[in-house]
Amino acid sequence: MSRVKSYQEINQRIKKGKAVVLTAEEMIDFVAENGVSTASEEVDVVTTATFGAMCSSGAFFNFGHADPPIRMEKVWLNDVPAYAGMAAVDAYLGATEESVDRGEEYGGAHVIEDLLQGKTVHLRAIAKGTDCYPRQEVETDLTLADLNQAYLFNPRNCYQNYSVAVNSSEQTIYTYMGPLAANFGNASYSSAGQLSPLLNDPYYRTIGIGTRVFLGGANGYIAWEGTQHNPLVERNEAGIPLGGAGTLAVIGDLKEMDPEYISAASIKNYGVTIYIGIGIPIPILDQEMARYTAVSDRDIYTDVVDYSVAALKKPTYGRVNYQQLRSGKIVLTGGREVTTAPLSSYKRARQIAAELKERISQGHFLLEKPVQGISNSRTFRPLKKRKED
Amino acid sequence: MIARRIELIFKPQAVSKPITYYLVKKFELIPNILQARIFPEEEGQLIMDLKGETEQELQAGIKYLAEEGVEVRVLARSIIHNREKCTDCGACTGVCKTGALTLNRENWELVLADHKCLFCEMCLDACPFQALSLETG
Repeated sequence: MSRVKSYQEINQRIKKGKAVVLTAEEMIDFVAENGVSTASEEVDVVTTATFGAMCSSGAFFNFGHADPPIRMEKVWLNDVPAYAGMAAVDAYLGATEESVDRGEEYGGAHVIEDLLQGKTVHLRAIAKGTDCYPRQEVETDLTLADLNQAYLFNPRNCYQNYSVAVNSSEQTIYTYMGPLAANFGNASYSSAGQLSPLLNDPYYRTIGIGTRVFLGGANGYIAWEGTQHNPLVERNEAGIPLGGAGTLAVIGDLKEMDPEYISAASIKNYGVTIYIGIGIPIPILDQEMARYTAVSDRDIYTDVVDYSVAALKKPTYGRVNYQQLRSGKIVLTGGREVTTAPLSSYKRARQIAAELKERISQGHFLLEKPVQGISNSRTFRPLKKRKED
Repeated sequence: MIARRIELIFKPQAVSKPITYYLVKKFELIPNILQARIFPEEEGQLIMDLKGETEQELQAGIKYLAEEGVEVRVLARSIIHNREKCTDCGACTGVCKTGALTLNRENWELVLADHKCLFCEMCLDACPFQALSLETG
């Protein structure tokens, strides 16, 4: 029976610059060559990462008080509405919110990107005016440095696996998975597969509330389970979910982030979204964690789903693994061959895993034991129907 | 295969000549007409994608058009790939049917082989970062 390592032990080694850190890709080869037992003894940390579209994201801002003060009720940043139903100069800007005048060309994600790139953003706010907050309108130009707080708080990031999108209909459809050409013209997939954080810790043993992560280049934290967290999805014998399963809510200081790892995007005829770079370190506490982190694209399967069917439950055309998806072609049930393309950047995911490895190896990034795990039993329900429907 | 998107302006004396027929028959080129108009002063305008096996064959066809008194303007010669905006996601590669846009399976970088591009413009719609555009003029 191999030794069990503690977080303290691993952090001591990180502080001394002696920790053995591998990326999730390197871990696959290491385990293949040396076995799970040796890997669990020798490897301290495995870094995982993803860089993809994470629509359910946004940022909280505090703008500071005007003189005379205003309790901002409606707020626009570069003409993109932000939610200000809080007191008094706080707002939440959703990444997918579209500009009043420019539509899907510019949205909340672009405002966040502009702020990160040091650009000036125009703030407009209105209010009814009260005795304590008499002002009814304010306009000014702000940069990220002018804001008291600016932090990303993303309700749902880091999907543990995701389905592949195809289109069986006679015309091109435009989806959040990109344009899907008619008659199975192309297939779009999104997960970073073997590099993806939650696929390397399928039952959330080490990834939980309070875990320190790489978020957009800064240190961030897991705040909660993500919305639509769905741990009860069907899994294979190794415990890998066969479709979208766990998700994470993450938080981190926008002021510390790097525009290299946050990119605004406009997906034609769908709308605005944001690409977020997230890296999560996984401590190799024991053999089980060594085995989990050795997962490869070959072992991760997902369903091919027909996005042309306008219903919640869509027909599927087979189950494929990420090795097949990454080859550029998959074969659907019935023998049809379809070109595949990723929506998330594997190159950036690799870059993040390498960067996080570097930070840990240099002793700049310590591991945090979760203060509480995320659920392994939450059920994910559809919208409740009214009785008369 | 290589291609150019071209605009042809016909003077009245050239309007009646079956130039597309000759482009196909004599020069073995493949014209795909996108727009054709005749103006009141009997000047004609034709916008087409002209495809050929080699650059020489394409140039021979264009030279022929000029000799027939047709004014030729090249509208599109390549796809521009903005490296600053590109994240190498590869979303464009799924809709590119000519193999002009591919992912390098070693380093997962986007590779643009612009001589393979036939200006279908599908990639312009597929790119989430508006990192691809058509070079014109």
